This record gives sequence, C-alpha cells and structure tokens, in this order.
Amino acid sequence: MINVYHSFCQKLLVDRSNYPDIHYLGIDRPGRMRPDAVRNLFFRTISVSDSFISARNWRLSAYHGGSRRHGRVDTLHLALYNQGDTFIILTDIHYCYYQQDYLFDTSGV
Amino acid sequence: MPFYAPNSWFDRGTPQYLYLNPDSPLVPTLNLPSGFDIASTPLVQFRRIDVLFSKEELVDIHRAMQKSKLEDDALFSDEGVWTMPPEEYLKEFFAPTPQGNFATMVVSTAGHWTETTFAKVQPPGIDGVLALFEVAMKHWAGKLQSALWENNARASAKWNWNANSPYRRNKRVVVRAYLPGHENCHNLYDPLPDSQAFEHNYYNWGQIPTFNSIFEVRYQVSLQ
Repeated sequence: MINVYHSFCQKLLVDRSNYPDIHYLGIDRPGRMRPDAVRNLFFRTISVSDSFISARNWRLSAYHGGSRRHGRVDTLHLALYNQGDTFIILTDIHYCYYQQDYLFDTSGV
Repeated sequence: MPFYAPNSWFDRGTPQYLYLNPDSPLVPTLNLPSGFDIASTPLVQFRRIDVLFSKEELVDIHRAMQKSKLEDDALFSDEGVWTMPPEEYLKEFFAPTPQGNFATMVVSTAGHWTETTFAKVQPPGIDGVLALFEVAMKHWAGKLQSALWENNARASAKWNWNANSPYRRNKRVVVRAYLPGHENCHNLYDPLPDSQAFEHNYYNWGQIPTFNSIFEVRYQVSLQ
C-alpha cells in the first residue's frame, strides 16, 4: 500500500519548489481508462483505511499536510472509485466526467 | 480556418480557436470576465508547436552540449518543422482580455523529436535526440516557470487584487504525456486486452515512454 503511494507521489507530488506552476499529467495509456479496463486489474487499489483518504467526502485529503495548492493538483490528477472497501485510483480526469459513479471534485480546478 | 482536406496545402502552424456561441440562450446567465468580448475572445487556442523552441534556439542548445566543435552543427534536416520560440507563445498565453485571458497552457511534445528531423544530432540517432530533448526540456521548464512567476507575482500584487484585473492570477502549465499511434490502427475495430509492443517502431513511437519519463525525471531532480 505504501509502495503504491510512493511510486505515485514520485511522479506527481514531489517538492515542487523549482517548478511550482508546471504540472505533469502522465496519461500515456488512456485506453486503459475505459470502464472495462477496471476488470483487467490495471488500476492500483488501496484500502479505505488509508489515512490519506478522506472517506467522508470522497476526495483526497490534502497530501502530507499540504496547502490548498496541493489539493488542487490532487483533484486534477485523481478520482476515487469506491468498489466494496477499496478505492481505485484513476488518473484520467476525462474518464470521471462521463462515469457518474466516479466522484470528482472540480471546485479547485 | 485552414483547409484541412487531405493532400491540400495548408499552413499547419495556423492557430485554431473555440469561442462561445453569442446566440446561445445561456449567454445572459454568464458572468464574463472584464473585457471579455464574446465575438473575439477565444475560450481555447490550439496551435501546433512541434519542439517548443525555435530551430535556432535548439541549434544553440545542441552546440553548447558538444565537447568539441562540430563540422556541421545545423542539427535539422530539411523536413518541415512548425515551431516558434517560447517568448512568442508566452506572449499569447499571457495576453489579457479581449485577446486572451487564458489560465492553463496544456503542452504535449515528443512526437516530432525524431531521427529524421534531427538528422545531424550528435551523438547520432535516437539516443542523441533523447539527450538533446532532456537538456532542452530543462531549459524550457526553467524558462516557463520564470515567466509564470513573473506573471503571477504581478497579477497578485496588492494594487491589482480585484476581480476586474486584466491580468489573470495563478496561470499554470500542464505537461501532458505524449501518445504514440498504433501501427495497425486502420485494421483494428475493438479494444485490445493488452498493450502491444511496436514491430516497426515508426517515427519514434517506441521511445515515446522514454520521452515522457524525462519530464518526470525533471521533477524528481528538483527534489534535491
């Protein structure tokens, strides 16, 4: 579980002091964001109990106590899908828009 | 609008725009920014900028990377390249209403960094292109971030902290991963269960993930 977060954060949530206003969106396999791709277990899953996740409002809580700025990056890159007691991380925001089951907070974007 | 029919001549660098429809019944309900002209202010501008720098700038970057002087440092073949220096597209990005007022620049590059375009790269071949790409993107990220800092600081200065400011605050750049095509795309009609390896490696498709990963590395380096 930690490893999942570690690899994910290396890509997107590093110390951004050098390039705070330039973001990398790593959607290089958008075909895998199709609903049927979920079946193929491509998506990495993490447990609900993970303290990074705010289960109450279904959005990623501010990462490592980060500012609202981090929160915005998170909402740009992440959506969470509740499947039983696991969340599935999706990394393509377009997917979230046409699947109503996926909750995506756009208030900060 | 350029004429995009197959095999016709058109300037592939021509910018394209999306606008609001002034006849929409929703228009009276919109709260438009100060200076927004529905007839001329675009919501989106698209433009083809193949390699994010002018050719001359990349020739200079490439020359500076060399340990010894090259006999021919022209770098490029005579293949068509549609590109411009960052100063030019940043000027468009930062333009206030009614010309611009853009918030986010979405950038995607890799597909035109090929061995045939950079025919005189040193070391030769795709490894040389990747090395040039890595150095050039470091220059690029630094240049863009400096410009963003300058703009965002100016826009958030106290005297400018009002809703009618012509300068939009918190502009940002999103680098989107580049996507290669599929070698057999004309003959496949269903989703594939798995990713398929390239057989012919057309253009630089096989190296696209490497190009993309260079952007990620940039940010990991910034940890230090």
